[in-house]
Amino acid sequence: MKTVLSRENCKISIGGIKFSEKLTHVSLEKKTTDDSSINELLYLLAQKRINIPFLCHSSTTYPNHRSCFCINHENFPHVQSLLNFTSFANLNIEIIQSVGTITLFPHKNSFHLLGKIIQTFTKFDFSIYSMSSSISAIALNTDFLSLDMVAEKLQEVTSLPKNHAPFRQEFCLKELQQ
Amino acid sequence: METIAVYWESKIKVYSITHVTDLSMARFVFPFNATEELCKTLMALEDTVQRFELVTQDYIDSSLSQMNLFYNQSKQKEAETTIKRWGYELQEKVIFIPSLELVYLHGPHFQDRFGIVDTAFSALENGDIEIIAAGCAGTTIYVVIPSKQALPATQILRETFIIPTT
Repeated sequence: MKTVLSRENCKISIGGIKFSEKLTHVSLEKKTTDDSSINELLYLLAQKRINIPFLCHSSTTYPNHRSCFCINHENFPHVQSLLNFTSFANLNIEIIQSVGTITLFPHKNSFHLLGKIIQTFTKFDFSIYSMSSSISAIALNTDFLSLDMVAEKLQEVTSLPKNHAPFRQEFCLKELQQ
Repeated sequence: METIAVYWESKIKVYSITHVTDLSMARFVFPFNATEELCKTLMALEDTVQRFELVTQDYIDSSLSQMNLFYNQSKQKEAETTIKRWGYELQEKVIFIPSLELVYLHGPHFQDRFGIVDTAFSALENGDIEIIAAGCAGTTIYVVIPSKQALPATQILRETFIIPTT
C-alpha cells in the first residue's frame, strides 16, 4: 500500500536548537502613552553594564505600550533595585524569575514552522512568555526547567541534522570599559 | 561558564544595516484557549502570504497573549482572507496596520553585550523616529517604524554604528 504523507505529518528540517542560560523575564506596560520610562530603564541597564539578550516592544498594543526583556538571572537583584526607583512607578511590571530561551534555526520565514512550534508548546502545556524572530532564528522564552523537555517535544515535529543535538553556549563574552 | 573574549569598542561594529519597506502588520490578541486556532491560521498563511518578515509575541496576563506578524503589504488581501477564513475566534481581536517599514541590524555577539539596544533606540528617538515595534533576539535588532522613515532611520543608524569595509 502506498502511503502519502501530508505536509501536516512531515517533520520540518531545521539546522539546530540552542538553549540559553537561566534568565529572568521582565514585562513592562506603560500606564500613559507619553511615558518614556522604558527608554530610561534601557539607558540605566546599559549604564550598569547589564546585557539584554532578548527584547520585544510594541507601541500599538493592548491597551498600552508594552515591552518585555530578559536579563541574566544573576543580574536580577541589580535590575530589581533599578525598578524600585520612583520614576518607574508609572509602569505595570511583571517578573518571571526562572526563564530560558529556546532558539530554533533557521526559520526560513516559514509560517508553517512557526505554527508547528507554537502548536507543540500548546499541546504539551509549555508556557510561551515571549517570542521574537531574528534574521534566521525563532527565539521563545519558556520556563527554564522545561527547556530539555521542550526540545524533546519539538523534535517530534522538526528534524535536526545527523549528529546534532540541542546545545548550550559554553562561553560568555566580557566587555571592558575604557 | 568560560570567558573567552574580552574587548571594548568606542563605536559599535555591525555586520549590516538593512531596511524593508511596504510591510503590513497583523496584531492578534488571543486567549490561550484560542492558541490551537491561531496555529492553524499561521499554517494556512504559509500557502497564501508565504513568508513572514518578523514575528513577535508577548504575554499580557495569565489568560491573554498578543502576537505581531509583519509581512509584505502586497499580500494584505491574502492575509485578511486567510485570517477571516480560519480565525473565527480571533477575528474580532485582529488589527491590521498597513504601510510600515522595518530597519534591522545585526552584529558580533549582540546577544552577549550590554548597551546595544539602548544605543540603537536612543539614536532613533533623538532623530524623532517613532518605534512602533521591535524584536531583538540572537544577534539581530529589528525596529518597525512608520512609512517613509526607513531611509532616515538607516542613515541615523549608519552614523551611530560602524560597518567595517575591507
